[in-house]
Amino acid sequence: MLCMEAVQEFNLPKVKGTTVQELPENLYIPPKALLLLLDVFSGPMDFLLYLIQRKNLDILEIDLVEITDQYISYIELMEDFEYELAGDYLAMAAYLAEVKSRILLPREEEEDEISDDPKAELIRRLQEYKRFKEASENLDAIPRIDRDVFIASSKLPEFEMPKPKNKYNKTDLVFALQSLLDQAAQLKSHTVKLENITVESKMKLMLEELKSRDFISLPELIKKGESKLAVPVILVAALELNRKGYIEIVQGESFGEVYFKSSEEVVH
Amino acid sequence: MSIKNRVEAILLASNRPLNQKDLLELMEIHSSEDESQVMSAIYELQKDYEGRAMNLIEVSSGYRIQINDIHSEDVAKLWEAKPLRLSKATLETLSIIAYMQPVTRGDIEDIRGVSVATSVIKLLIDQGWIKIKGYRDVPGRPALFISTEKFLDDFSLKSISDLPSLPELPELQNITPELTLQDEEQEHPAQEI
Repeated sequence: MLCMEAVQEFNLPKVKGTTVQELPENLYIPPKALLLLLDVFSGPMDFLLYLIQRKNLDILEIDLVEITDQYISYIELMEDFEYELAGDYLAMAAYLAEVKSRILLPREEEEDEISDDPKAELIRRLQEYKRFKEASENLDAIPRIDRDVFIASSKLPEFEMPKPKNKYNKTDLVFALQSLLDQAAQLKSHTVKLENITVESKMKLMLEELKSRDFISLPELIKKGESKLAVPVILVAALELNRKGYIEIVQGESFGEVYFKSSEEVVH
Repeated sequence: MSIKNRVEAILLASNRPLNQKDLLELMEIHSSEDESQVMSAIYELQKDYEGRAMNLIEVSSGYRIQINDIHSEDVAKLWEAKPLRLSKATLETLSIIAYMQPVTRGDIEDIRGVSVATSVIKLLIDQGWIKIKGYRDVPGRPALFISTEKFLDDFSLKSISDLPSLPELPELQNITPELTLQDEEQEHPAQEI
């Protein structure tokens, strides 16, 4: 409201048609009044619309010359106060001045086309702006979340877990590391290889070995590094050789060492 | 455990709108008989809340239970921050995007007769009310803005067609008498035939 009053006060000398170059010194102007004016209007269109509606005029009935003079005089007034005006206000002033000059200047008849009617164009722009200004007011009136309506919610608040105090010692750290390493070890993958061990190959090996020596003891038969699978295969191979009569199995005493030796009777 | 109470529990706990599909999935409902029970549960809850502090409404992304706007003054005091106040410029920009989408900054500036401040666009994007959807195929490739589902949710709208209708643009014909004359001259021969 403050700014509108200010505007009307300033307008008085202008309406009378006398160009007042300097403001009366005794006139008190709230220092922020004009700045407030710029805040109240969303732009030059809004301001222009205000100037028209202040006179209860329909947009269609505007006296373009008068409105243009009014608008420009406000702009000049504000410049007198050295307020830095947004370029858009100045651009509108220039546009209005152009429209005004085109209306006042005589033109040739053929120029007078619909698309070339500067007043019609300005009115169109004002009408177009006005409908969106109204639409924005309607939009603002709609119940808005977190302003008019709030989501009703029984959503549980996020509980903050109490942070554990730092009470660890060196041993805890070592244990933690160890369990991590254990875990890592368990996670290590290992490939199962299929061993290609046959009874026949072991039989052959045993006969080969018995060529160079007379006896092989049972522990010697199973060499270091043999796989678990190889142990029964070797035993089966020894028993098989014995069954076929290629070797003999001898034992010196009860519970004594078992030896394998070549059968002398068999001719290779 | 009635379906009605289950629907109410889920809507209250969710803190965001849930649509029919969300509800059916959460409740693991597959039979069409139970489906219709969910819908009637929503209707019954709406009836129950009449005259209470809250209501159940449908917005773009689903159903939500909200506190009636008559209590906004009381409730708003729970938060230190004041609700966001939108400036005229922001509201006008948002309206033009909502009604005319997709629009470029230039389109908005043509209507408002003032350059669109970057802060306004940023605020609207930060609120999640507008987003960029493509670029117009003209020199400079300006961004095209559209409104979002969150805009509809936050303004309690089911769809963009629920916006208050845009005031009509008056017919241009009566602006200048010359125009009507021209129109008549053009129309007369046509009527005679």
